[in-house]
Amino acid sequence: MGTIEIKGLSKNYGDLRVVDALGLSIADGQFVTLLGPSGCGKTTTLRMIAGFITPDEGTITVDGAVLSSPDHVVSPENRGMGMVFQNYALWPHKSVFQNVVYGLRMQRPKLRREDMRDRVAAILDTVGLAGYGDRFPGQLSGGQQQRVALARSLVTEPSILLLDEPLSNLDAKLRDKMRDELQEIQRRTNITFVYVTHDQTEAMSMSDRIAVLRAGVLEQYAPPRQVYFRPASVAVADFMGLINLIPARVESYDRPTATAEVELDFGARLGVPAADGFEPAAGEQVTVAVRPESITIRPASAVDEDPFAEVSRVMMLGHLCYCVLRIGEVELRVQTDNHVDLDRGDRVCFDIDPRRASVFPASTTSESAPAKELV
Amino acid sequence: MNAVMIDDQTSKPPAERRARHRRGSVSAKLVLGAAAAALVVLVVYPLFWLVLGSLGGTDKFTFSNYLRVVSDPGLYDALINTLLIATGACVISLVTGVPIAWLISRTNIPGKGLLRMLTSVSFMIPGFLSALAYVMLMAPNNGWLNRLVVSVTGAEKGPFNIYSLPGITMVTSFGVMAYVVMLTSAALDSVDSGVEQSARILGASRWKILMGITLPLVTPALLASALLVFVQSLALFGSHAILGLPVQIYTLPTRIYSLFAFPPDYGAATALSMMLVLLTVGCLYLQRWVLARRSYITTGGKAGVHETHDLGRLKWPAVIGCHAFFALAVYFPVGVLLLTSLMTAQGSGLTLDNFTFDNYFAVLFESSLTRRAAINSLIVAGSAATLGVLLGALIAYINFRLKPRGAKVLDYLATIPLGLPGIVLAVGLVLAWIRLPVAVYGTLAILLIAYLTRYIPLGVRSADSALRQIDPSLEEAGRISGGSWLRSMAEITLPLMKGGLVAGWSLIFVQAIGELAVAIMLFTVGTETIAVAIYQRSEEGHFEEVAALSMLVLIATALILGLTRRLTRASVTRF
Repeated sequence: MGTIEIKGLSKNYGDLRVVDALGLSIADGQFVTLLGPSGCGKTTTLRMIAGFITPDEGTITVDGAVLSSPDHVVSPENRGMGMVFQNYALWPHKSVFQNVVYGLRMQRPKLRREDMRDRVAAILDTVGLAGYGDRFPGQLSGGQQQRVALARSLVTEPSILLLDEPLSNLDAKLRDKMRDELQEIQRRTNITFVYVTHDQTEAMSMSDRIAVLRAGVLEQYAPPRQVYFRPASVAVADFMGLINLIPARVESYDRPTATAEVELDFGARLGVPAADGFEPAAGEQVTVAVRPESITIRPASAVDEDPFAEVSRVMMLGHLCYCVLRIGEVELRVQTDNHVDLDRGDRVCFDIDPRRASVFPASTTSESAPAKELV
Repeated sequence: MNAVMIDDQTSKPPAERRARHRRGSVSAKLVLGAAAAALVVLVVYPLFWLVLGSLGGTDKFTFSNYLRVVSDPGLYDALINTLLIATGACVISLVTGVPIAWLISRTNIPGKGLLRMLTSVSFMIPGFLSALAYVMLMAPNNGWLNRLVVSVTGAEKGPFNIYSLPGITMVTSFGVMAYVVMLTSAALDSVDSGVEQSARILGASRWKILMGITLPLVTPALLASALLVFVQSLALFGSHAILGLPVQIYTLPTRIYSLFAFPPDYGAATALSMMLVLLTVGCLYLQRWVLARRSYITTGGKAGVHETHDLGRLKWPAVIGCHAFFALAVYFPVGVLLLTSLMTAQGSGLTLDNFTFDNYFAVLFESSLTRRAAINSLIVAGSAATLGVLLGALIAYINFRLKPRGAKVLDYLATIPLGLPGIVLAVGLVLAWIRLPVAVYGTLAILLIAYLTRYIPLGVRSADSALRQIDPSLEEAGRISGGSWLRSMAEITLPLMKGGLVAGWSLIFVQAIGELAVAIMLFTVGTETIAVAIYQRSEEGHFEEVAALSMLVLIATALILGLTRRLTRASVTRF
């Protein structure tokens, strides 16, 4: 079993509250990602789960046993977990075999020598390193070292595997490949994975659930689709990828469908679902969040009553294309297909898919400027 | 992978887990306690007696010792001599060391490897051995060089007299100039050639670049090394004693030493010791301050490819200059020791019937004193090196990994011995241990304690630099794989530190073998060390045996260091 129950977990470093009253329950066999920008407390949380850090408040319970609390912390070696470190942390003075077999040697009662050898061989085979047992870490490529680290943490067949940004040191292509393999291994072994990353693509592609952390606070804990399409806050929406934040005013709010009729800054009217737990009042200033792929561009016809926008920038990224439209004071980022034939200064019309947009309380901060990520 | 078994590790009863956890923190506490206890015994205890002794001891609190010392005109002579020697050694070291460092780091001078090696050889020759070699070379009447000059020029008397302030200063500087070379060339290596090239492209000449850009950039390193040279020269008891005492030129260390001669004046000795400590600590603080301000040195970024200056026609003059200096610092002293050790009588000149191995045979097998001394030295230096490295590893580990409250105090205590010149440490130890009923004073144990204390900073520093290169996650990976703290330490951290620890061990061993000041104060009949034996034999005038013993020390030193180099290079291949 590998269920983890985190309650009211907090950690301070001096005056800095790194993790703030975090609550999280992770079911057995799930792939859960702690996602957030650097300094959000995700690694600290992971290291508290591993037993390297003592929490200031709260508890971590695994399969019903309290492993961490401010009073006592079960030391890492007695937790039976596995961990993959960001820098792999392979022991340079031990061969691949010796690295991998280490965890088995620590097990009590002692395992038979032949069993150990077989299990190491099997796990090396699983990660695609059969026959590499006699090499030393220094003789391996980054990707191979990564696999050794994975094998070392899996060989003891832990019920929980902790992964601290394991792919961040790999190049883009290898990262994609390892992403598939990690997911595959997790599905096959049914080990509970707790995965830390700041890369939302990684998080979305692999996880059963994503815990989005910001400044030590859990902002949202939900499956990837929900985090992406129904973000709990503007901050989450922003962090999960490029998003347009359009100032708007509420005309009316329909509670049964949780849909607000809003008038956007540049005049268009839409019926947009409100974010969870937000009930806007008529006349209230709000922010409408729309992803670039939820806006479609069509050629402007003279008879159209929809507002015109002017193309102010076109960015061809290869597999897709981004346009920046300017309408009044607002800039909209729109994702189009890569065959679109647009130029600066063209006048176009556009449609917003209201069901894929969300209404949030008016954002006051400057974080409504996600354009920087495009450049 | 086959279907994963649900392992039952995590379902152990919590009570058992709790017990094991507590044991883990207990071992960490034990480590902390052991290190703290060792430092208190080794450092705080003798320091306490030193301070107390200078303030009148246990009887009554008084400043009379200090007053007595200050009102003694002999003190001023000793103080001025000490300062003159230290300043002179500074000047000589800078004048010779900076050009050599620049030549090694920045030019195409041939034989850089040899020059680097000569620098470390000059550093490893114990000061008192250089002094003895120079007695053989430049004693007023029968020194080899004097006799050479007399026979060549027909002059009545040779020109050199090593028993003089300039003589002491010169010999002292040979033992310390390596600091200047090593620190300056390290600083030069960290200056990117880009800063020089950008000046060059703007039209500056090479000389202007050197004086206006390169040297100012390494000035902090120069100042720091100069202060280090100063501090070391203050305390080089061996050369001060061998070259100064016969002609009553006193320095602070030799003055302290003679205050211990019969009848001993502990009060004055401790007061004088405190003054030497003050001088040393003051300089070390100044040095630390200089180094802390050197922010702009590191802005070179990655030390890229260095442009090496083509010396052109100056190439061979530069080579000759360097080797002329090392002739004085290394070739002559080692040469005269080697030749003398192979002669039946050193006065009879270089002839075949004067050639013999008897001296080696005598010191190794015939003389019970020298054989005993050699064995004592091996035992004490070996134990001090082993314990010093272990204690150093402990303290470094506490500082870097456990980081408990009060780790700073521990670290601070471990650096205190840097501020205690050997002779001063010995004074403190005598006062501290002579009064105890346990038989420590007068045994090899007191020497071991002394060496251990003296070389704690060396042990800490080598363990520290080894530990810095090991990412904490390596040990954490051991823990999460199920290995206990002790186990991770034994299987992962210590083996990875091996190279650094071996290097630290041999550095301590070599220095302990050549340590004179501490040994001369603490030995009794039966616990002589090889340094003491050499000193005593030289006072009796047995220069052939002295030379043989000295050569044995040098050979052992070279062997140990060469072996270490081979071992540490081959050991851990980091990635």
